Amino acid sequence: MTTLEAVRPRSGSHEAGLTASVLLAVAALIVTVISLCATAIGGVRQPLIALAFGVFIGVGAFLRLRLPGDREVWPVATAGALAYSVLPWFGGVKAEHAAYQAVTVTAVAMVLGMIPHVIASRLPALDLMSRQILSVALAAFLFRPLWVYAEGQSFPAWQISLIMVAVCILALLADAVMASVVRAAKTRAPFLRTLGDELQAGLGLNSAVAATAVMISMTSSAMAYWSLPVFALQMVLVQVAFKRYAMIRSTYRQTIRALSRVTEVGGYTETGHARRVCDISLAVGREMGMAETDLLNLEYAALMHDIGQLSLDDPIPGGATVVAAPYQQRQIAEKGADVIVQTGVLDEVARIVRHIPDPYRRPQEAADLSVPLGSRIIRAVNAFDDLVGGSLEGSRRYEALERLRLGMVYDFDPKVVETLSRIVERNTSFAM
Amino acid sequence: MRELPRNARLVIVTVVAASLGLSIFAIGQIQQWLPILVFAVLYVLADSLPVGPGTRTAGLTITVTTPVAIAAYIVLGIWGGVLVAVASVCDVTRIAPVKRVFNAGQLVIAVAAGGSIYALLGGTSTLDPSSFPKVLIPALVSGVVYAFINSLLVGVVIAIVEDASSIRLLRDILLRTLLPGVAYSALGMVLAVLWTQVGPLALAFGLLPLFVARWAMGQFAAEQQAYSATIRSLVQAVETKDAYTRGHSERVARASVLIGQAMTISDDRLQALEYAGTLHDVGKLGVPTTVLRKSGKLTKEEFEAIKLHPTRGHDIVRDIRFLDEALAGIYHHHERIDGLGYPSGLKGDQIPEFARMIAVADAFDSMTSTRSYRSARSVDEAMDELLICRGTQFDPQMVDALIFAVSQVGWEPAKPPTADELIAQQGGPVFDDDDPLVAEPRAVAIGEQRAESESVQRQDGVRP
Repeated sequence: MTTLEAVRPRSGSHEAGLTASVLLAVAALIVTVISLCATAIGGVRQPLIALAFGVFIGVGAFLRLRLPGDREVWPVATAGALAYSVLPWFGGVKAEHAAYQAVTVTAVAMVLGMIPHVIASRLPALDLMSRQILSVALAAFLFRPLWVYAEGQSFPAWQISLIMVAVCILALLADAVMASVVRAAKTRAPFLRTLGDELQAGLGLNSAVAATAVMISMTSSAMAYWSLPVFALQMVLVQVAFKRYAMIRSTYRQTIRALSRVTEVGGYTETGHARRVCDISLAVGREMGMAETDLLNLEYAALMHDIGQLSLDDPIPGGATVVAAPYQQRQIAEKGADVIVQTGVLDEVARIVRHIPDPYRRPQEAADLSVPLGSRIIRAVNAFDDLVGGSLEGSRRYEALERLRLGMVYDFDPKVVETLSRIVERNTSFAM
Repeated sequence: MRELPRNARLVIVTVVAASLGLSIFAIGQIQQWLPILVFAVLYVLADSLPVGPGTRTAGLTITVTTPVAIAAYIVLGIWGGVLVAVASVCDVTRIAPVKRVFNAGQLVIAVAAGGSIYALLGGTSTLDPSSFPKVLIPALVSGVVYAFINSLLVGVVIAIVEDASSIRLLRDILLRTLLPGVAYSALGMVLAVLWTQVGPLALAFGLLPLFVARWAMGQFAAEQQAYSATIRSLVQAVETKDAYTRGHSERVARASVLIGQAMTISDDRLQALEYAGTLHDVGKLGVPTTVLRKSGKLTKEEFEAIKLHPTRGHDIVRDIRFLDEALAGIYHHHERIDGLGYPSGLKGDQIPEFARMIAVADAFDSMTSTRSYRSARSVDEAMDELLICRGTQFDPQMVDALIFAVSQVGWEPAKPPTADELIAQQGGPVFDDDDPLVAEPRAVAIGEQRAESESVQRQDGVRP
């Protein structure tokens, strides 16, 4: 195992993250088994309707989509499952299925929709499926008993649809909470931060999902089976739009990652330096509770922090900026920032790169608050990597950390060094 | 209005006059104004919400207003629908008055046509469980008719103004009629059901998913622009190492796109070609400045280092997943049709299409730029030189495509470096690997002497 892999917080590599996933899966399994038994005993009500929604959900589960920030979603399946949970009427007839039947149909359809992926030896989206079963169960157990009661009182249609909207929003919120618990456990980021990120990232798509779910249930009271293909079409349109967006975002990231190698190919920096600094900086930033947008800027800045070296006529020996003269360090940062500013869209990244040579604080002065957190992180991680290189030796790591600790008073932000030490120590313990 | 061609003015005036007549007649037919007002407000709102930059360039255009217009003639009947269409004049986005009036006019006619077909085929205005599935045929057929009239009227005016061929016009109309017609009428039908079943408020709700899709497309377009800008300026910025080759990548990208357009490749591939052109020399960026600027002869090792640049470039960008075809273009852009190029020595059609395009664009820009060992060639001289190498070094098709494109739209060659820039960089490259006037990898591999003598002959041959 290389240092790179040892330090990178891989999904599932942390025990806490694994525990969260397993707990979620167990809860979902229990809910599914109970629902299956109840359905088996009580029998399936209105089987044709159940089949129609099952097909909708199954196809939706096949159409998985990965959004920026490594978020797996299947908006079509979610919309279909929620719609079936809050379905009041179907083709002029009352929908009689109980909550457990809605959960059963959802679970079975999602498992079936995932089979082609498993056959193609792609990982099944277990986290996603557990979350979805639990949130759909929440919606179904909230709405279906209420519906029996509400129907006796004969509320007007618009009031019922308001209740449906509320139930769907609640279910999607529950899903976001579960997702952020798992993410917080996996990346060791603070829970409130991951929840905020999750809500922000999901706002657009989830409002479309909630609206579609409610519309499917409302319109199928008149349109019966005909409403399903119409909304499938509309949701696929939404999904295509998001897929394109997600693709260009990941291309952008891959490209910055690729271009960060220009300095390595030219012999200016050590192989893998930029990527290592990037991965460790991200781990530090995440654990210090940085928001996702800031993490993206941190990632780009870390990848491109040495791009200014290309303006030097000759490479610095070993590419290690930590041994370069302060004047030269500043020159590299300035040139690099100038290059990045020219893109016109990465101003914050340029600011971070420009401030990397700035010490955390100067003698007799208070900490310099104008230095962005990203710069402080990259400054420390860059020094660490320059001192350690790709070495796997534990002793070299401790020496490097010791040197950073010595520089803590002025050169490096103590909080950053503390977090970095925690990450390095945690990972060496099982990398060796 | 004055600057429009006469025929376009004729069409516009006819459309506007006809729609005016229809609207005036419609006013007399209306008993209930409130539902019309609700639809009109919704239509204008849907039309006016901001969607971010460049949604049209993204290839997939999502219209939120079309389902509203279709739902309008289903729920309100022909005349109600016509009046909603009239309200579209109030669009708050800033467009020229002529366009605004024409848009409303063609919309009135399309709605009237769609509404008539819907009524003729027996569509009803209230949609409840008893109306399905018999309302499907009227709704879908009328939607297709609506989309046809809409794209026909707009298409004709655009075709006249842009002087496009009638075949392209027909293709565009068909493309915008069938599938969008079916899809949008299905959504319009759903809106009509919501109106009947839940009430007016549900309409706004019904449009939410379309808005979200449109928003995502806007984000996509913005991100794509940011992406192009980023790779362009990153590559350009590190190019500044050498005053002579400054801007080379961007110009090669431009020339490659010209070739691609002349070869009529698809928009997606054109985009990839542009990226490939921009990144084709990315492997050179890492070559230490001292080697690139060395004045005096390059050693054999140094030349070999430069020859490695397509491989290095490929190494750098191979992790960018979507670049598939562009990647091959970068790796093979120094191959020759006669098989004497590098790095793989591929021949003829074995060389990927992108690489054959970039090779021509690359050489063309190199020849029309100033080098330390020679002055820039004029565009005509460079094209003559391309013709000489046509079939040996370059793919004849691509050479013809570039010459055709340049004769159509012209070419703005590189500006020679200023004296200040030259002083700042002290010396320049003795050799440009992209330059067909000197670069003969075969000859250099045997001995530098021969390369130089050949290049002198070649230069003499071109001189008038």
